[in-house]
Amino acid sequence: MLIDYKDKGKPVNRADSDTSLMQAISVNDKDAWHVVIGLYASSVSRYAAWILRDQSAAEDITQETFLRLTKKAATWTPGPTTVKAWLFRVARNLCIDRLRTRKEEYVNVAAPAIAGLDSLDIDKAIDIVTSVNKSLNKLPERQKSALILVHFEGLTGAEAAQALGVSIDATESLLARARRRIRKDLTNVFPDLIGR
Amino acid sequence: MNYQEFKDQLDTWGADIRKWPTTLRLDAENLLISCPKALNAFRDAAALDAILNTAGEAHKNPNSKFQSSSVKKIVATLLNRNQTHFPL
Repeated sequence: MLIDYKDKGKPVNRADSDTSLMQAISVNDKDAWHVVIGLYASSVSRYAAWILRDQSAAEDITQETFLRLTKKAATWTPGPTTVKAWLFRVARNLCIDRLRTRKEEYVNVAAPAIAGLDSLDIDKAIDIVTSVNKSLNKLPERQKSALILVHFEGLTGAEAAQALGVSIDATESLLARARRRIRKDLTNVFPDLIGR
Repeated sequence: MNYQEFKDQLDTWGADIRKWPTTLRLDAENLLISCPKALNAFRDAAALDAILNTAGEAHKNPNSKFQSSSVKKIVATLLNRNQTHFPL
């Protein structure tokens, strides 16, 4: 449950909170715009970077996603779809469009992502990030998206289902297949960590 | 809950049982106590979670170049564009 964006500490229904936020955005409330960006911009941009493997393209997708939110705000109606799930659904569709048409060179996000780490064994962390990226990139897009949304970005099964445009059962199936394939891949890379 | 049902949930949600459907959590915890095979599968899933979390956290690290430059740039651009299109 989220809280009303201007009344922190007073719990309100999630749909009410989303509606309040979208109404404020529709009348150009600067605070509301800051709130929605603060809540979701990082997460959406990470998701796009995971999918596209291109930091610059991920920035474009994130910007376009939030610009579309501005347009959507005026016609937002409360329903089962959360603002969070709506944002990921738009970002995913934009990523798919980009993947269909892109001709950019592959740019791996692992190196810049790992650069700020200081509390981990850097070599091991780079191995892990590289291996996970490699394994993720072998997955069909929907399995990959399901895993990223739920495991990395903390969406619930219901939110991920809304973002993916499928049922919760289908989302669970995508998650299970994704984890099994990733596990199989990573067992070969890290036999000392998995499947002992 | 039998072992195969437990394993299916592990494959779907991972070893953090707080993420599992609420109706299954108690049964899962009871099986963990009584079934060594389930405990082994749980440890295996936890190891996979740890690897995935390491990769995920690297992308979320606030000190990483990705976060410090890319996200700041996105936010600044969005705020500027929003002000341009919709004067506040």
